[in-house]
Amino acid sequence: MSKPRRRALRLGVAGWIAIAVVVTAVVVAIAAPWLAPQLPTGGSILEQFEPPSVTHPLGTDVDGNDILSRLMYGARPSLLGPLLVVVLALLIGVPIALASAWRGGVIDTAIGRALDLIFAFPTVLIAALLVLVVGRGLPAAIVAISIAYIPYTTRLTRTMALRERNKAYILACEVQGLSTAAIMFRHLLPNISRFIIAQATIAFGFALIDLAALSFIGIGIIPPAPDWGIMVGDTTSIAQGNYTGVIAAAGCIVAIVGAFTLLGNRLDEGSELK
Amino acid sequence: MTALLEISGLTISIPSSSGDHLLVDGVDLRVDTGSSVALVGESGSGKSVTARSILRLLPDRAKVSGDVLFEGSSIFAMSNAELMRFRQTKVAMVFQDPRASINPMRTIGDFLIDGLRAGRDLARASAVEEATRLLGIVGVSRAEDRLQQYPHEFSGGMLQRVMIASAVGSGATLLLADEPTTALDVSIQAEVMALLGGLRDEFGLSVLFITHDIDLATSHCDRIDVMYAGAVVESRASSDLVAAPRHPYSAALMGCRTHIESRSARLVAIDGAPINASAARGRCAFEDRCSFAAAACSDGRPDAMSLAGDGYVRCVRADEIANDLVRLLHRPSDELAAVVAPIVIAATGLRKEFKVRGAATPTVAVDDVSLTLRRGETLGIVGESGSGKTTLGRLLLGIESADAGTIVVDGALRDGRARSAAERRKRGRQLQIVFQDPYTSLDPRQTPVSAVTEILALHRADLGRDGRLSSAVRLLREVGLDDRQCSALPAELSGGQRQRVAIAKALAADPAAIILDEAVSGLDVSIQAQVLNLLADLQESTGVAYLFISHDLSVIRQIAHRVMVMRDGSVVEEGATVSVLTDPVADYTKQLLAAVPSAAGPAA
Repeated sequence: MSKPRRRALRLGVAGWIAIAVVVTAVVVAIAAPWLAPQLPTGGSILEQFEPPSVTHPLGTDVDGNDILSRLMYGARPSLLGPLLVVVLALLIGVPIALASAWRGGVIDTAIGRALDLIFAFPTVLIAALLVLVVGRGLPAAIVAISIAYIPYTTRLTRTMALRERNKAYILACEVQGLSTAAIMFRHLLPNISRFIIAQATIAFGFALIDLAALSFIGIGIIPPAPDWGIMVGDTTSIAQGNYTGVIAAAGCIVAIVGAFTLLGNRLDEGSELK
Repeated sequence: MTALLEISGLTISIPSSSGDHLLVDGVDLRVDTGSSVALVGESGSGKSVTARSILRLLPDRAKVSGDVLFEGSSIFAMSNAELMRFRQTKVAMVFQDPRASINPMRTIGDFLIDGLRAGRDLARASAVEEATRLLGIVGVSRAEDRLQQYPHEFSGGMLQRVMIASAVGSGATLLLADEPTTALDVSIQAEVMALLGGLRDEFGLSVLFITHDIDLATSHCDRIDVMYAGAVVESRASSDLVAAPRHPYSAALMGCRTHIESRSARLVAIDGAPINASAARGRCAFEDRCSFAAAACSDGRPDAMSLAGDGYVRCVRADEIANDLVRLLHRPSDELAAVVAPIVIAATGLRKEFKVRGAATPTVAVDDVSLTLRRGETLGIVGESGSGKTTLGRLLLGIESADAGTIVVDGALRDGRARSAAERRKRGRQLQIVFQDPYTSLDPRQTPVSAVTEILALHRADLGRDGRLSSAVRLLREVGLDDRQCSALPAELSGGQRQRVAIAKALAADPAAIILDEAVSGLDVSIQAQVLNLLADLQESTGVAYLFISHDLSVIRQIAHRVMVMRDGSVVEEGATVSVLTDPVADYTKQLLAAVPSAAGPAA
């Protein structure tokens, strides 16, 4: 018997470029300790704002740290953070969405209202509140953004699950006598998984921006730890007219977010069954 | 002979929101010591409830009147302790499915020994000896070795023997056998029946045998009580009944056993819900389906009329039609087949409303619809979109719950969605569906083989992995798929092929009935004919009943034995397909027929 084949995914040139960008970023993040010319922190203030040179290809920042090394090390929290956000938001959101779509009625309404409530709080507010409770740092930022994303992942998954649930084959499974768990995990979830992955990919980009924003306003990662958000928010450098680090970090964010959004959209197009 | 068991005026009803649901309506029954009596009836006739009442195994909310006397003392007057003792030592029960009534985790020996020691003081060693002896009596060879074995190592027939051994071992004088052979092969069936007969002769064990099979009953039991809609309609000695049945229903049951399986060209229309005892109060319950019905039949419930040779019949016309019945018996007709095939779906007074936002009154999608579907039969439901035919199907499936009315599928009452996984699985074996759109009714990620295997895994765990795979391939070949198509994804199959897969999936659970909801409407005409032929062939070989929902009269004409025309949620006309389509009574049916493009006219 042949394995079920996936529908062909049309990437196009842009899609391949996006994949190249993502793969490069991941490789750099993992191999940062070996690839980076310097350590990301612990530079000397005496080497502040050096122009690009052989030792510092992108120059140094206000603390005398090598900007390229900071970018490379910064890829780690900048990629790991959004990944954790998306995974958390899906782990919580997808089961809620499935329950909501499957049971319908009062349960669906109750879940919908609860999600509205969470939706009403801006991400930054949730983050600020969490920081009060657990203190500053990456974990608080990730948890805050995950909470803020739950309504988003839940709503989208619910809509898709509801659409799929009303298809005849799911009803047929029920009539066949399959248990709810079997229908969910063997039929419903696999058939909407591509859509969920597409949405998660797009959400990854947004999470990257939101995490950077929290770092930027000072309630995310604590400086001088390397992070793209912190690098963009390096106001001292800007005040002194040195934009190299800011532009480089912003460029990385734009490239990654762009790549993920594009891939997400490509996946989404393919997930629409005919 | 002395009466061991005497039931008099037993009436049982279950209270429900729509009034009491009458299950048993004044049953009198007598089992003499050392005799075997058969209680014969279709599912829903109340025979099993009657049997269970003897052990007081009724739901707490059941309302019971009348009396059950065992050895002269009333069962309903017993204290709980007395009842327990009575169940342990006086009466034993054997069920249809022996596998369901034995703990699979314990050995056959443990099962028998527990039973032996429950009622009395018995050392374990002597209990083992006794268990060995009992297995020998019921014809299980190498009894000592087999005591160590587990239920799964026994065949169904052997396991039924174990159940009977346990009954004998309890010292019971009455054995209640509720369809004990229905789940067994025909050859094993005869052996088990012979065993029961032998035990009666040897140990004086009285047997009350509950069955739907009147031939089996008359060939193995002394007396026959035929039940219909909760009442005994005829009570005779076996030999008398075989010679000359006096109730039209008994005659119908006997007359056309051989014709049930064959697809008859014409089946009579059966109105109402024949199994519902409540609906038949104050008249003869069989009236609706009786070809001998006369005005007198609706005039009160027929009294028992004594017959020569210690028997009675409840039919006001019994004397007038006696000769006709005997004649019928020797010339079985299709009409009798229609009356006798067991009922698969019986729905009464179904109603479903949908609230429409903004509208003052709800829309009535299904309005007081009753229907009966029998084994091997196809009932066509015709109507335009919005006539409520699809909602009716969803009510029967239990996807939607009815606002009023009752649904009995394959003997089980169903009300709305299944409440447990086990119930859902059980329902899967009762009723299946094939949908209109073959493009959404299959999981796009599943090949036909894996889809069918998945269903077999659910319902046929006994087959094993390889067995399921080969069964799935066999089933898919049967519906006309080749090997390559068996392992292709739905996207690679044509609409007709997909619909074949859907049919194979529906058949995999071996259901009693299949709802075909516009199942061929999406297909080209030539493919349509192929699928219709396939459906007819499958019905012939498996006896599955179809509820064929369609807007297309020409399709209905080809496949349905009977037809029901629906409009705005209610049934406007029903009857044999031939008569409804050639000689319609209702104006609406005439309109529908007029709208069909005829072969002679211009092509549509």
